[in-house]
Order: sequence, then structure tokens, then C-alpha cells
Amino acid sequence: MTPDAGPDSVRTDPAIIVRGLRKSYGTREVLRGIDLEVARGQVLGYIGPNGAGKTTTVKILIGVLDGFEGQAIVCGHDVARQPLEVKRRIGYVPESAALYEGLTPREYLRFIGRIHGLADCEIDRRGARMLAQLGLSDELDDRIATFSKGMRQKVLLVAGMMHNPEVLFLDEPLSGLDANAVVVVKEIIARLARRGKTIFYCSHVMDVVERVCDRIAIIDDGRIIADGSFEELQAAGRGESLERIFTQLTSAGGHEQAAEAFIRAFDVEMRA
Amino acid sequence: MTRPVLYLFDRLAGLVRRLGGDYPQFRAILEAKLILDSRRQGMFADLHPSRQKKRGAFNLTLLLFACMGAPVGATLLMVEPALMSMGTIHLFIMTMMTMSLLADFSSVLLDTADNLILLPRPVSGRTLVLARLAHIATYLGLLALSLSLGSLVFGTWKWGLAFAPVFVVALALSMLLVLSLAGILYLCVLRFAGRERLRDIIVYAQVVMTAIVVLGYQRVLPRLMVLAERRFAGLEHRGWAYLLPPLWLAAPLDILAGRMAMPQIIMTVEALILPPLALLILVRHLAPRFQESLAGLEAGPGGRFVRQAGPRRQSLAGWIASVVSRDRTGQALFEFLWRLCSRDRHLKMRAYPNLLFIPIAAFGIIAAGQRDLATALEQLPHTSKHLVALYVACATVPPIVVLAGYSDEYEAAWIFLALPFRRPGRVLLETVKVVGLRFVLPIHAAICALVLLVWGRCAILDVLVATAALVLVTVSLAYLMARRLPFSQRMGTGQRAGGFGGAFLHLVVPALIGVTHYALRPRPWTLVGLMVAFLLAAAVPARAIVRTEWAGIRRASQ
Repeated sequence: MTPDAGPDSVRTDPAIIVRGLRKSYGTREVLRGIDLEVARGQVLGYIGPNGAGKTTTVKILIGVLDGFEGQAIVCGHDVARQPLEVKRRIGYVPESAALYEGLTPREYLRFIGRIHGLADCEIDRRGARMLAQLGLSDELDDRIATFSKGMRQKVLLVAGMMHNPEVLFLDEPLSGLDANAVVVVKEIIARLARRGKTIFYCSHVMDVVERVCDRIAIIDDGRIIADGSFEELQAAGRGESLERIFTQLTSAGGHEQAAEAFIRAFDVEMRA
Repeated sequence: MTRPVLYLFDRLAGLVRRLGGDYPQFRAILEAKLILDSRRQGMFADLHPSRQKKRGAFNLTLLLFACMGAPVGATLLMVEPALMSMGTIHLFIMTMMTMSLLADFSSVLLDTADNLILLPRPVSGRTLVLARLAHIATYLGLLALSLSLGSLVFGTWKWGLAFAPVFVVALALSMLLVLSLAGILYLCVLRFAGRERLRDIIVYAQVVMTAIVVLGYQRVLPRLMVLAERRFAGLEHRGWAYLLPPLWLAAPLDILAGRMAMPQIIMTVEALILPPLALLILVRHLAPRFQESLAGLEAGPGGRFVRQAGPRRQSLAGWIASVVSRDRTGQALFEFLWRLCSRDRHLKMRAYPNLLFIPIAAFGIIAAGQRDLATALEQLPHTSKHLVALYVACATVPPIVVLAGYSDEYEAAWIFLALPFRRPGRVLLETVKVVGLRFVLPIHAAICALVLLVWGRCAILDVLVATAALVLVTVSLAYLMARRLPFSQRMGTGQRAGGFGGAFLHLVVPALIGVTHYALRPRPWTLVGLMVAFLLAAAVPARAIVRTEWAGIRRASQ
């Protein structure tokens, strides 16, 4: 049922191929020609300021958003023409906690697992085991509505991975997680990559991206403005940390002035 | 309810597969939806995680529908031939199903709330459409069964036990037809005209259906009854009879009643073939691109609403707020809620269709018994029928305050919990004010203006009394049914299902007030007393609303 790593899955073609990807909402062009190839087993950090087009790129690649120009191929299938084939092979952990809150984690995972064609006993086994490793074994039968943000995130993580996808799209996967879970998830990502899984990692947390990803693409205003390993980006003379590199590339600078002006907003009020 | 429903659909697994659906996925989606329906969702849902939601509203609707259906079922005993009486019953049931579908279930088919859950998963459009149709059919089937309970009893009594299975199959087919045609309409509009059009079209369809129902009861049905035996004895020999779905569905029973003939056989074949064909067209040709339509439904309009407001321009909302609320907090709340009410995608869609009932019902009742409209209008000022118009409004408008408690974006209501209020009563009161001024009063004012235009000065007192009654009913309803923070609850399918029927329930109290008003009309001073009494009485629930404690809100929200 699931595309587990078999002998014929030792493939060398890229897991994700994007060519000339453009997307507009009305007259606003969100993506202005994205070109990207992600090799199998690679962990790509996809970073950019708010509104740069990260989520739009992901939504196109997972087959949820249509009406784009250019080509997007995931796991050897054209996203526009064979969205179902793509969806069978990928996992997606969304940024917002989209869950059926009225269900319990057990019920929710069963729902997701059945959609992916897993047997019930397999779903229960994997679900319970995965949630337990994230520290959520006692809450299997509580309603998700009662969960904290981090607990919901854990359910989302398991729901995104339990069918053992070839390519995993993670949108801010660590948000709300406690420190223990963060360490576990980072290690999970590294081990999945070693098993040949491809990971498309969107985040704003620079130091995590710096450590977890073996390649980083920076998107700004609908275009990729930098692409390479962290060391390559450093070598290009952009700065020491990824945060430095990022801010140099994507903003006009002047953070101190911005912060000062922000604080000054109080003063104006007091004078008035 | 989940288990029997799933059991039933398990029997139909082959059908789902043949239509191109993935049965395990179909079942998983349906099961999740039914479980969710059985649990309340909203701001305070986490207080009692295990408690099952009371399905009160929906059960009441079922009871009400059973009561409404019984007299219609009696047609079976009074009217011959069976083609005519059964046709009437099927017409009635199909109409009620269509109304319910349009009013309460459109949003189930077009739900975008779980787009992020379902769309990234490998579910085909066919499976998704089938699962949603099945979800709606679960409720629609219960409604149809309760509507037809009377007919089932009378029919079995008249024609014996063979009646029941034939009737139930006919019911299933009529539900299939209604569902499929609605689905075809929605998906076609979605694909070819876009989402804004779709909302308009759902509203138009509701107007047309309401008009058909009211006028049908007022004008067509009584005449049909009179003419039934004379003119419709040969109903099946008229060409247009083959175009009427209620007659197809009635035909097998006509055969059962012993009138086996070519027309009946053709109609039976139509009944057996056309509803499944409609479903086939829907699932085969329209459903495959359903997800794209859903994704499109969710996507924003892309910054088209960017409006260049002039600097410091005082808004209408701000101006009204400064008039009706005393302090800055109240004004801020009022203005904020006014904007929310104006822009909530679903509030308007749910509120306005109920209102369409007023002009149509009022017209139907006013024109009843008159030969033509001109005579009716001439006679009007000499009647007391303006009371009907006024109190029909009084019954249909106030329930909008209940709707304001619901939203699909209920989580945003945390803001009211975070604000420094000792009691939530202020928020509730401002909500009632906003709904009253934004929805209830304009409609009432329009009706009053119309009444004064036709009846002249002598109706002034009546209008004032009715206005007082409207205030009383609105505030009471707000106290009894709407003590929830605005937009803080998610409307589950069960509650949706109760919506259409629930509207009937609110008719009772205003009707009683209307009758009292009519009885006191010969003595005008008693009417003045009545008006004052209404206004004084309205102060009681209003004070109670203001004094609502946080605990009261929690209780009301469970």
C-alpha cells in the first residue's frame, strides 16, 4: 500500500523538480518564476520573509493549489496532471493546526490512516508508538480540542508521517513543541533523510534550519535569491549566521532604527 | 447514530465503488463527520470533553415534520386515484427536502473548513462528493422518514403491507433525485460561474422554492383537491405528466393499487432510471474537479476589497454606536461587532433566506381567498390582515440573534475572553443591539412602511404595538437561546439540520401575541397598555442579559 523503500525505489532522479513556477492571485503575482531541484534524501530549508511565497510554493507542490504556470514534478509525477499520485507519496504537516478538534488523536489518526489505505491494526500500532515517542501516550483518547498548541503539533506530525511518505513537506513543524520534543523531531528528520526520504522544510527559525538542513533556498518576493548549503552561503561572504545572511538578503537593513521607531510610537501617544 | 448509518452504507459499498469512489476512504470520511456531529464544537467544548451534544433541535424538527406530514398523508384516504394522492405526498416531501437542503445543507457540501485536512490527502473528487452526499443524506433521510410517517401508516392501512417497501424505495429515489440535482446545480455553477454567483443562486433557489410552497398551499393545492376527481382522473394521459418527478415516484404505487397501464409503467421506469442517472452524471462528470472548486472557494478574492477610505471619515457604524451606546467600551464593542456581522461570510447567507419567507408568506395569506389580486388589494384596508404581515415578521426576524452566536471561525472569539470585562453581559447586549439594528429593525421598518402605505393612519397604533412585540420577542429570544459570545460556536450539522424546522417553532409565541392584539383591537386604549407592557417586559430579559456572568455563558454554550 505505502511506497516503502524497496529495491526499485533506489532512484537517482530528483524527488522534486520545479521549473518556471509562477502563480498569481488576481493581479498580484506571488511566485515569479521559481526553479528548484531537490535530490532524494536531501533536507531542503525553504526560508523567506512573510508573504514571500513559501506557503504558496508548498501548496502547489502538494497538489492543493492549481492554476499556476510552469512545471512541478514530485516523486516523478506531474502535480497538475496526477495530483492523486503525488498525494499518495507525500506527507504534509501544515503550518496552521488544521485538525478535526472534536476527534481524539486515536480517531483522527485512524481517519488519516484509512484514507491512506493502511490497515486498522497497523494504524493503531504506528500511531500509538509514534505519539508515545513524542510524549503523548496518555492522551490518546482525549479530545484534540483540549490540547495545547504543542500537543496538536505532535498529532499533526504523526498524521503527516504515519503513512511513511517519500517526500515530507514540513511547514514550521517545531512550533509550540517543548524542548524535548524539538530534539526528538530534529533527530527524526535527520534519520528520515538517512533513509532516503526527502524533506522540504519551511521555517522562520534560522538556527534550526541552519543545523537541520543540508541545503537552503531563500525566497523573497516570489523569487529564489540564494540557494546552496549553509557553508556555501557563508562562503559567498554574506555573514556568519544564517540569520545574518537572511536579513542581509531580504531586508533593506536598519533593524535598530526599526526597533527604535517601534518603541517611539508610545512617545507620540503620550505627547498627544 | 453513527453505527447504524455506517452499517447501512456498508451494504451500499459496491455502489460507491462502481461510481468510482474509494469505499474505505468514503467510510472513513463519513465516520469522522458523524462522530464530529455527535460532539459539540466551540469555545467551551473543552470543559466537558466527553459529553455528547444534545441533539434537541434536530429531534424537535423531526417531531414537527412528523406532525406536518400526517395530515398530508391523509390525502391517501381522501383522494383517488393513487397516482394523484401519492403524487401530492411525494411533491410535499420533495419540496420540504429541497427547502431543507438549500437552507441547511448547502454548506455541508461546500464546506471548506477541512480543506487543509482533506485536500493534501489522496482522496479523489468522486470519493469526497459521495461522502458528503452520504453525510447530507443521513439527515435528509431522517427528515424524509419523519415527514412520511403518516403516509406510511395510512398507506399500509389502505393497501396492505406491500405498500411500505415500495414507498420507502420511492422515498430513497426521491431523495437521491433531490440530492443529485442540487449537487449538479452547485457544481455546475461553481465550475462555470464562480463562487459569488453560487451564493446568489442558492438564495434565488430558496426564494423560488418558498414561493412555490406558499403559493402552492394557498392557491394550487385546494383547487387540485377539488378538481382531482373530475379532471385528473386521466392525469397519466397528459404528456406533461411524464415530466413531473412526484408522479414518477407515485406510479409504482398506482400499479400496486391495481391500475397497471402503459403510462404507469413508463413513469415507474423513469423513477427507477432517472435519479440514479442524475447521480451518475454528478459523480462521473462533475465530481472529479470538485477539489479544485473547493480550493477556489477558500481562496481569497486577492485584494479586490482594498478600499481607499478617506481620512477621519466617520463610519455609519461609528455614528450609530455613538447614539446607542453610552460609554467608549460599549461603542467600541458595537462598532467592532457591527463590522463582524457585516463581513461574516456565513451569517448573511444563513440570515437572509429566512427573511425571504416574510413577503411571500404575507402575500400568500393576504391574497388568500380572493379571486384576483386587484380585488384583494381593494379589500385590504378594510381587513385586519396587516396584523398577519406584522406578526409573520415578528416570528421570522428575531431568530437571527441566535445565528450571531455561530461562526466557522469560532476560535477568534477568544478575544472576548481576553478583554478585561467583569461580566460578559456587555458583549451580549451589544451583540443584540447590533443584530437588532443591522438586521431586525430595517426589515421591520420596511414592512411597517408598507403597512402604513396600504392601511393608512388607522394602522399606526398597530405598527407601534407590533414593534414593541418585536423588541420583546427579540430580547427574550436572545436571553433564552443566544447567551453565547458572538461568533463563538461552530454550527454542527445537527444544528444546521434543525435550522429550517426550528424556524417554525418561533412562530408559536408571535402568533399568540398576534391573536391577543387582534382580540384587543376594538378597544384602542388596551392596545396602548399592551404596548407599554411589552416594552416593560422587554426590560426584564435585557437586564438579565447584561447581568450574565461568565458561568452563565459557559452553561449556555454547552
